[in-house]
Amino acid sequence: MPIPKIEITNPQALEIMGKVKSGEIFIPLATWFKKSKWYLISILIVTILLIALVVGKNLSEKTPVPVFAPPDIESITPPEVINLKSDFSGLKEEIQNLNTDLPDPFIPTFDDNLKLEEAVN
Amino acid sequence: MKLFAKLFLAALTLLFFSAVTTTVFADAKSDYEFQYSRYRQNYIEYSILKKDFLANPTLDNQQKAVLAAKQTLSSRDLSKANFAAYLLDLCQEKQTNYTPIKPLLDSLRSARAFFLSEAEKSKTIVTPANLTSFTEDYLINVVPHNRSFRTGIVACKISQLVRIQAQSKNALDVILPKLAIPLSTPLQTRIDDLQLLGNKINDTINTFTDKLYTEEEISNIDNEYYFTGKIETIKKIQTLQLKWIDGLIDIDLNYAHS
Repeated sequence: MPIPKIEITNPQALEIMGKVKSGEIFIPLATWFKKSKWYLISILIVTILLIALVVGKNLSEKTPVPVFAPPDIESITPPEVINLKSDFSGLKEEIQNLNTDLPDPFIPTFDDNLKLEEAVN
Repeated sequence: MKLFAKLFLAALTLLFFSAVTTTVFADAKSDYEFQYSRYRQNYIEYSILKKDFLANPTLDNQQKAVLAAKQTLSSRDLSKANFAAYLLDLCQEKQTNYTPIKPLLDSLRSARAFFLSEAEKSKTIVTPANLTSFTEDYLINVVPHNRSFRTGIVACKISQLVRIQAQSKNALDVILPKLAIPLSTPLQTRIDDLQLLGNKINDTINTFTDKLYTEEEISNIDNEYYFTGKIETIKKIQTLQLKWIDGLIDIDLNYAHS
């Protein structure tokens, strides 16, 4: 089926097409770009910096932090002290823990004189 | 199979008896604590009701006061009986079989029997006159039994000291076969010194115990300073025992371990 040929006859459309062909339609846009040139450059620089920061952070997280240890030097090991413990230390503790205070246990107090009469002093 | 069953039964029996023997000591103390707390409660009640009766001597108040007095007497004498039992357990748990303190332990047993009998006797009290008569008899007879607590406490401490002496002697007996023979002169001197010191401690304990039965000591039992001199002697014995065990440990570490 042959494609029918479209012929533009609308005067408004013809005017726009004429502006596009001559480049007249892009003049306000170019003017705006010229006006805001420094703003655009600044936004671009900030964006590049932010991207660089994000990329740098991701890279640093993936790479392990290097440990900077001082070089090995000859250390002096303290001599091993052997603590000999006698089998009779328990008996010594028992003697030390002996309570020498008296009375132990404490003697409770009782009233031996229970009467229903008044006490005579 | 039968053999296993018998073994199981034997183990159960052993477990039961071991449980019983460990709870005897706890019971004497807890019985005493329980009865003493009862006595304190009853005594407060008795004091209030006696005061009410003396202020307003009605028959009702008299009955209430006599009943409160009976309960107080019962709990008082049961507390004392249990306290004597507690002291006896404390002395006997050391299992020293040190005969010089036997009379002191006997007096604790006698005190326990006396207080149990008095607790029973107090149940017959009905009137204030009965109560007065009971208390008058009690005041005459109770003195030696109350004193047995003071001497009993000293006996328990002696029992502990004697037990330490027995353990110390056993320790020396364990070390002696471990020492290289022939003994060197310095080592022999140390052992001789230990034996001399051990004998000295034994003599001090014996003298301390014998002194408890002297007339002077018996007359001082109720004195508030009765325990003061004894504390000093016990501390002195403890110091000697520490010196002895230090000497033994020194031999153990320097001669028996090498």
